[in-house]
Formats: sequence, structure tokens, C-alpha cells
Amino acid sequence: MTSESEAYTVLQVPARNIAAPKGWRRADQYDPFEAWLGPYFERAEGGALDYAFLVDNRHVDETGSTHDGALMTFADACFGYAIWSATNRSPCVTVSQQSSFLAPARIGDLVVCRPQLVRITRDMAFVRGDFMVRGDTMCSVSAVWRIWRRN
Amino acid sequence: MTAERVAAPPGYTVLEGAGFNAYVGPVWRAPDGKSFLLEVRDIHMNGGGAIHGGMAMALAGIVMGGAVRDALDGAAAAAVSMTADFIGPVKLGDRLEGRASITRRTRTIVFVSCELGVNGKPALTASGIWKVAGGQ
Repeated sequence: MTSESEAYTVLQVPARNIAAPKGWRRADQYDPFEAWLGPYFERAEGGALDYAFLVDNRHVDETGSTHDGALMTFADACFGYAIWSATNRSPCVTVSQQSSFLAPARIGDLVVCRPQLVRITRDMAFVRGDFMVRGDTMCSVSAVWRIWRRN
Repeated sequence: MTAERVAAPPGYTVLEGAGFNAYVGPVWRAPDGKSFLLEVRDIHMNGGGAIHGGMAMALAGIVMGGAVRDALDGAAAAAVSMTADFIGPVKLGDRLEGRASITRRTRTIVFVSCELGVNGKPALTASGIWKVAGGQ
């Protein structure tokens, strides 16, 4: 996510006209690299925000399994969205991220995450998330972020 | 942000790959075969003027995965865990380069770490665990 408080722009990615799955809408994208790999999708459910992306040929390795880079980028994006929505879009950056890859996903799979803010202080956030395909956890990530509060 | 042709740094060769690696690349392999280099372009950025953490972690994975494959003489292996610490900034146009070292190799598991930096200044440290395919 952004580290300059007023410098963000919602990016339009008309070139990748990938429809949102039923029940999901496109998430706004602020970072060029997330737009490059997106779109990412979001939905509000039970008072929480879920995020998802559809695996296509940009997100896999030569064997057709999800690339760890695509998963770590999506995780970073999910955590940024979660921290932004809890801090009035305060600037924040990743300090450390630990990612476990439990099972691969394949082209056409919808990878879903509900990021969990484990603890958030004035200038730090501890966040984690499980990444699911058809209800099975395929990736598990936890991270530490630094925040610069707007107020 | 479409196909732009970029010249290889002298002596470097492109890291062949399909899917993600080709789409976010090119990633260059140094003449010694051990170091990997990314020239940071507009597509790699976050909204705050730095490289996106996901791209930096992806490069760390590529660097460590290359070292693991070398250590296994090409046998297949997959990352099961990776930890990355972001210790310094990386900006547009920077040449982010790093190499990995194998900490320990068993029959089933390879422990590996790497450091990425810009002009020798550290930007990211990472460690990872790779599972050897079919390893008993």
C-alpha cells in the first residue's frame, strides 16, 4: 500500500476485463503491481471484508501451480486493505511477512481470504490470513506492518 | 504498461520461465549463475513510490528457488515457507539484485536464505524452506 498520504490514485485496468464472480465486486486498486496482477475482488460478509482473486495464467509457474510470488502479493494486498479500512487510509508499509504454502491452486480457482487484524496499535499492525480454495486452506500468512496515522 | 523491449545488462541472461516469472520479468541471471537482478519498472511499484512488497518477495523466492534447484541438480522442489523482512527502500529504476545461500539440505527439506540489495545496500532479507519432490 501507499506510504505517501495524499498520493494515491485509483487505477483503472480496462485491459483485463475479468468479471467479478457472483457475489463479489472489484476492489479498488491503488498499486500498479496489484493492478498488474489483478483484478482483486471483495465482498462484505458478516461484518467482515473478504478478498479474492481468480487464478489465471499470470499467477502460475511452468507446472500450472500457483506461483508463491502471486500468493505473497495477494496476501500483502489483503493486509493492506484491512489496515487501510481500520485506519482511515493511513499510510502503512510491510515490515515482515511469513508465508506458508500448504497446497497449490490451479488456473480457474478462486483464492479467498478474510484478513484478520490480530492487534493494531498507533504505529504497528499484526495481521494474518488463511487463503482458501473451495473451503480448503492452501496458504497461511502472517505479517507485521508499520503505520503512520493520519490523526 | 505493455510489452516494452529491454536490453540485458552486459553478460546477464534472461531467466527463462512461463506464467508469473515471464509476466513480471524479465529477471536477469548474472554471469556467475548465482545472482539474479530485477530492474524496477513502473509495473513493479506500489502507490507510494517504492517497489511493491509482493514483487520484492517474489524476487526473493526466485533467487532462493534458483539456489535450491542448483543444490538439487535440477530435481523438483517447491517452497513451503518463506519469511521476508523489508529493511530498506527500493525505488523506480533501481537494480535490485541478490543471491541465496543454502543453509542445510536434507533428503526432504532444503533451508535457504537470501539478501536483496541495491548497489550493495541491503533492501530485503529472506529465508525459506523448500520441500524436495518425492524426497523420502
